[in-house]
Amino acid sequence: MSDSAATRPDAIAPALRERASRVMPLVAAATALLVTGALWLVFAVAPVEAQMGIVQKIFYFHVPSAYAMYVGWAVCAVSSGVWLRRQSDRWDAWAVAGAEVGLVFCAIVLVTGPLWARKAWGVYWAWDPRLTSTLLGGLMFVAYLVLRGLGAGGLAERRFGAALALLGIPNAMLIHYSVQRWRGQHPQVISGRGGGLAPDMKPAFYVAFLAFTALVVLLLWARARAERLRQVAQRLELDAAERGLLEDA
Amino acid sequence: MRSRKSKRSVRFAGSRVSGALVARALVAGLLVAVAITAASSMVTSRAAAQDANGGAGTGRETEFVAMTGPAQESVPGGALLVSAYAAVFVLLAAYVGRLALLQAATSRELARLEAALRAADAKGAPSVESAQKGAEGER
Repeated sequence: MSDSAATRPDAIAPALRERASRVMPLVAAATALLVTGALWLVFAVAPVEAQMGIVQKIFYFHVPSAYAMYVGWAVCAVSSGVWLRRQSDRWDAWAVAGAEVGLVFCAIVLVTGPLWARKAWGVYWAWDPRLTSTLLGGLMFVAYLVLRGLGAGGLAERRFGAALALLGIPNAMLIHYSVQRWRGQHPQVISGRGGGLAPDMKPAFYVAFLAFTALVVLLLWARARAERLRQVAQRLELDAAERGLLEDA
Repeated sequence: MRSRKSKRSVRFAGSRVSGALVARALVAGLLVAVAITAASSMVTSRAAAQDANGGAGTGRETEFVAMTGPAQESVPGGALLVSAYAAVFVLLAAYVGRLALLQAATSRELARLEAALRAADAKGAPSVESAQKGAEGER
């Protein structure tokens, strides 16, 4: 049964707002601290790379962004799968949040990657397997958000959106393993048979990873909360319309 | 004159879905399939070409080594680095701004609707159930 039917909408809103207003500032403060720490480690502590020089420092935010992109899309796919089974508004909100946040990090990956490539490969873009599959994944989730945005929240649009989100799982695996399966140009530093990072580079990379973990959790939470409130507002509007209170508007 | 469009619908996952929506979804699915096929054929042909060249892709980086001595770069990477980090923060700030706007608009809407419903309750306006019964009675 849908939790939207089980709970009065005007009772959900204050509870959600109160819970979020207590925890959200703490998570946001921790995230800001971690991002600042990561920036300090990247620019003040981590050494300049021998071959690529200073541009290699893009790596410290590029890789965690890709990881945050996977997290967002995984949340979207899993929530969509659960929503298809339970039809719960809560899972639908998490699915929308996952798609949107994943797409933001995908945009970061697709902007920072070519800037790194300009120095490393001499060109901004190459039709490398990992680059191509990442672009394809981004386009899939653009399609998801367009479908959800145009459909006025109808059940059919939600179902098609959920099915599209589930397609994101094989695509994410394609992105991840493309670098190992096909010979491309994308570096293989921290996965597969890579030689890894110099010891002085590791703290910056690990703290950046933590910072992006906190950031993706914070953004997912904030977006899911905003979507839940939007759902509540939608139901209140329906309630008011059924009682004839919106005729003047 | 009233147009006579056929409103055919089909069942999908337990609910009725309009034929037009199914058609749009099929077109979208077809486009995604074409894109996947094109991308995979491009990738496969590229991999085959690299294999034919004796594995040209083996030259990619497999480790990062710290520099010793003064930095010397043939292509200055400073502008690329600054652009990349600026892009990260601009994109994140834009998204946080979008979230704030969405949150503010939803909060305003919630406050307006809650006030309207509270005022209606105070005036003794009909509940949803009684309004629905009244509407059914009129029919």
